[in-house]
Amino acid sequence: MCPDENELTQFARGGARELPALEAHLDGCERCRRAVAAAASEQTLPGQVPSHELTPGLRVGRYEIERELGRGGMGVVYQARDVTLDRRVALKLLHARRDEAAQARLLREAQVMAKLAHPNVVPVFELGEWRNDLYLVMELVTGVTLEAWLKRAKHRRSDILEHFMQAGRGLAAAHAAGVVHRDFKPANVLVGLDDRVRVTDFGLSRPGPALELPATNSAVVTRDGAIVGTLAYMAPEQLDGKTADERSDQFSFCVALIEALAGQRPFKGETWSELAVSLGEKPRFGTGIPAQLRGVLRKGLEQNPAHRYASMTALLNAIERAQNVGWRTVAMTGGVALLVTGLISAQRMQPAPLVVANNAAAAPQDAEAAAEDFVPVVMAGVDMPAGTIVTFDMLVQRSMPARYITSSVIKPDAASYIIGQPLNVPVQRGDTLLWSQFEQMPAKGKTVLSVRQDVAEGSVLVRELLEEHQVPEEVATNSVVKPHAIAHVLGHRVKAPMRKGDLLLWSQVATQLEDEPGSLTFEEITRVAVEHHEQLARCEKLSDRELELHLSWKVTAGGTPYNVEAAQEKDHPATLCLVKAISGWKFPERSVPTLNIDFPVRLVRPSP
Amino acid sequence: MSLPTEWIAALEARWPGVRAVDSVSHQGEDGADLLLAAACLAKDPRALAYLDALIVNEVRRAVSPLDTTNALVDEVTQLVRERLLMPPPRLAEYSGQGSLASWIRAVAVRLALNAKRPGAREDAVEELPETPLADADPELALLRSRYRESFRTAFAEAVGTLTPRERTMMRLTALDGLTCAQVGQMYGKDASTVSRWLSSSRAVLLEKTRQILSHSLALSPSALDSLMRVADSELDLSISRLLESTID
Repeated sequence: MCPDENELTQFARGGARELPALEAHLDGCERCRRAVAAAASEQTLPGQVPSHELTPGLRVGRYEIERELGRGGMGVVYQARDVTLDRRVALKLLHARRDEAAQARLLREAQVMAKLAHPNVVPVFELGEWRNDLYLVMELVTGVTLEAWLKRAKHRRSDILEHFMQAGRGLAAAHAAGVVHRDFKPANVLVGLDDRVRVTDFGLSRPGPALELPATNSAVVTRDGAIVGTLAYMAPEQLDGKTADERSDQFSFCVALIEALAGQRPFKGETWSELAVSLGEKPRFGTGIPAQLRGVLRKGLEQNPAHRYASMTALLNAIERAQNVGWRTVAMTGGVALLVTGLISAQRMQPAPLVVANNAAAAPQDAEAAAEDFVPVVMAGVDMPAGTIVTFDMLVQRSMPARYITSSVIKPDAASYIIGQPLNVPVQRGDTLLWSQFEQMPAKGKTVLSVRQDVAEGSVLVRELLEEHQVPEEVATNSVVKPHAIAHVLGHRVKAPMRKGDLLLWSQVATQLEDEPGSLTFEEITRVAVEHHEQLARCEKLSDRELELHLSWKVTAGGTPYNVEAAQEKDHPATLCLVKAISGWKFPERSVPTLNIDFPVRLVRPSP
Repeated sequence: MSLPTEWIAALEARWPGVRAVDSVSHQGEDGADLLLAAACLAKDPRALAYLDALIVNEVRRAVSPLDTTNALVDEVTQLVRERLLMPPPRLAEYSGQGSLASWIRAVAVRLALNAKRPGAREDAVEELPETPLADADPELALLRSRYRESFRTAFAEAVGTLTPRERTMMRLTALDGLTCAQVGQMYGKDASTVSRWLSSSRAVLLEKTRQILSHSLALSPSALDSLMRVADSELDLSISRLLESTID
């Protein structure tokens, strides 16, 4: 007769009463022994690598952990480096493994979020699994949470409203894409150094009553206590365990906004039972909220979701109207910042038309003046004497003409590296900050590619045009082309004019491609392009001094033969060689159904 | 009987929104989980939702390692649901000794093993020592193949001379993947003690096997040494299967 599960779990915990008898039984009964093992496996977490602590240097997928950035109810956030793309990202390790349905939903929403490009939403790159935990990879935003921003100083009402309007637009964009946030609160909103507001952590919380399910490791939940904070912003239908929809986010948004403006939340209490009572009462608005805005927020806080605004956008419009004072359109300084990060958020790229130009002379230079381009940089917001320890508040972001920017200027995406560092020299308000002004220059530099001379738009990149350039590690962001990737850019035309000494950016040699299902990722395309580039280089047994070929073909994936067409000189040995090389090309199977590439090829021979 | 206030506080913290039911018959240590179970039996919808999420989670955790194809997980999840809630509800038996989560895992594993039992063990024995490790040395390979059967018999006999506790501990670590710390908790010992016990069991096992082999086979001491060296180096690889095949 097998003992019941109570006895087995008790044995697993070391509290068995009839030890010898149970031992004798376990010796012969595999079922019970395995049941004991399953019961005991609960204590796995503290013993082995704790599933919620990652140490610097550890690899999670293709990400190398650099440091912890913070922790919240849903998990711990780390700064990590994507070793494949060589860029910094934020990696959030989510607590506890969720059940299959929740995982599927998380995956689906992460896919939606990865496609959603909105200035007020933190871009999601990847959802992965590591040792039974899920992790989410997002853009690394330099800045603070809205919660910290609100606490840091007393802000003007219009500033607070402006920040919330931005967050609201982020929510509205997600709603339009079919994703509900479910856990909107100031701690889930980031305010970047550029003052741009971005909402993060979409859909991470569970739907329904299982929201606070401690899963198997209740210590995590009780330790950081984040659940309590979350409940306070929750809509009544969420507390009741019903499904959350867009209107639940609307409710949370209103609670957070009232708290920000009036200093207190409209409903008292932090635990479930307190909130269950106070949610039945009228909301408290405190002081400092004009009557008109109050009316709007009251509607957003209706108990019955059907009585709230039809959508987040409708709520935002109503808030704007209530403001009445001519709402200032939010300046999108962030749009410029996106340019710098360029390739980071573009998941699918296609190289610009490839030009084969081995051993070619530099393409003729066009002296045409470059259109003035502005690039964001970090400036001193206050006068800083030598020795000042730089803090976030002292920095401002400004745009500068690109031609004034050198590698020694600190860009916003590298600002986190000077925060907390002492200044070497005095700096005046409005000065651009330079790496050389800091004592702690980055220990080792990195080699990147820059152009040796001015390059006109449309010029073909050849080896002679490029040189290696030593820059601080922080400057060598992912958007800058590194020497090891030179083969990826040789032969491409630059899309914008460049000045001597400019660092070569990926965005200058690649174009963004419409997101189509099944299309190749950037890495795949560059890998294929490099292989092919090398093959074409072998077709150089040419006698002509200069030969121009225009080829175009249709590539069908999965081993089907390709239609290859040479626009001219079909019988020329070089054409034949190229056609032969091209017909042997393999494309990843995933590039279904059909990939059409117009692929002009030009060979330029040097004079003998 | 009035409920301890710390139980109610724990219930609020771990399972927010579940109403405490007064009729709790057990006196376990895990008050929050006991109250959750009681609320489920009283058909509290929120408690039932928590329980269901718990079942889905725990069954997956407990059953996945037993079943690489994952075909069992859904089936067992359903079985556990029925077993726990359909009359007579097994959930009423949960006595709060340890968390409800670990109790559910224990239930799930036994149900899973019932479901997959037939034929499982035969395979384990068949594929025994085909390890490529010593094949570089043809002499050892010959030794191994010739005496495989004798070795297996001797090993099984040697396993029989261990105490039930030694056998269980070896199986819990080698077969079930528990750590020394987890096994130690069962016996109130720390991980290093368990680790010492395990290595001495291992030495005993090898020595006994050697003794038995030297009686049953007419081998020169040096040939026996070679055989035992192979056995030692492969013990970690084959111990699981050997241990598994000696259960009856």
